[in-house]
Amino acid sequence: MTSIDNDQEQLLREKSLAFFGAITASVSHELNNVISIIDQTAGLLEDLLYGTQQGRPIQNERLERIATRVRKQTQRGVGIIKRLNRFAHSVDDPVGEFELNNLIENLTALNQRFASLKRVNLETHYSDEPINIVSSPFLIQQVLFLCIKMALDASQENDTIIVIIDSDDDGVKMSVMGRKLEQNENELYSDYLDQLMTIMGGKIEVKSDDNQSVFKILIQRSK
Amino acid sequence: MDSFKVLLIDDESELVETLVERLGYRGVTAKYTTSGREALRMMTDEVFDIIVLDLKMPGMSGEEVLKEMKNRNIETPVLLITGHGAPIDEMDEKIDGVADYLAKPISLEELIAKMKESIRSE
Repeated sequence: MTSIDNDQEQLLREKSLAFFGAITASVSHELNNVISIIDQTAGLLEDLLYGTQQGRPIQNERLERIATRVRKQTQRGVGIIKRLNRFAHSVDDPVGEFELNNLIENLTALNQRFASLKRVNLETHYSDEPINIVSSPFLIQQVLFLCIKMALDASQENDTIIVIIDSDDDGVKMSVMGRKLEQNENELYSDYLDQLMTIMGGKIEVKSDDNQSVFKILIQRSK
Repeated sequence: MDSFKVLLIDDESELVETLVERLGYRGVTAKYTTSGREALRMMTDEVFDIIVLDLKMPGMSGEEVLKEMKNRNIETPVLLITGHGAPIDEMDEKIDGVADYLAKPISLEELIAKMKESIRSE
């Protein structure tokens, strides 16, 4: 990894915390929904139980549907916690060996809520073969998160943002395609993204035509 | 206040379905929708005593629904539901046109008390 000066380190710390905060806040909202549904379903069971005491029996099918609902929401909660746990552990080592598709699959899943709030589809196309690289998993996720955020900010309802992961002899390539960015949207995080890519020994560029903008991220396999 | 009619708006369908049923057992007439746009259509078609609105929803957010209600001169009191884990008085986003707030997970008794209080204050 390339060394950085104190100002850059301060900026990196602030932006990294903001990224971590955005993901954990989103996850906590989603978990709150899961808990709310389970809580109200428990309340419903109490209501139905009270009804039986008043001579209104509960049908077995009704109880089965309630049990299914609780199980479904529990599984949803477990899935959210697993993703958050994988994300949290991605900061364990500043640099390490990991499989990129798995890392990005987890990150894009955590980003789905941001996309669905804007009614935007977030599609990820993974490489056919596993991509094992030595780099900073946390910084890679931060770069991709910011690219997706910029694409989401520029998007409109029913748009699709496409993330593509691929690799060749030059290194690992990630692309984020979305609606065309305005000049000011493009500049919002550009200096910071350049800085992150410099630290990782990679580069990023944004190419736009009349309709769409594409972030092209190139990372070395081993840094 | 013996009975009243509420419209619940939240994109978590299993949550609002359950709330509607539980409110029904307590003599409250409740309807629900998971879409802000559908909610505005329902508010135009029938009169509700109170609206219970989720802040964060896909597409049209709770804030956008509030804004559109104001544009259409719909003056039904609104209880805003948030997913914030922090207590309501710690929230930094008090929103114009909202009678009161509730944080998820919602207590049904608190919801009913706040709905009655908001209707009474109108």
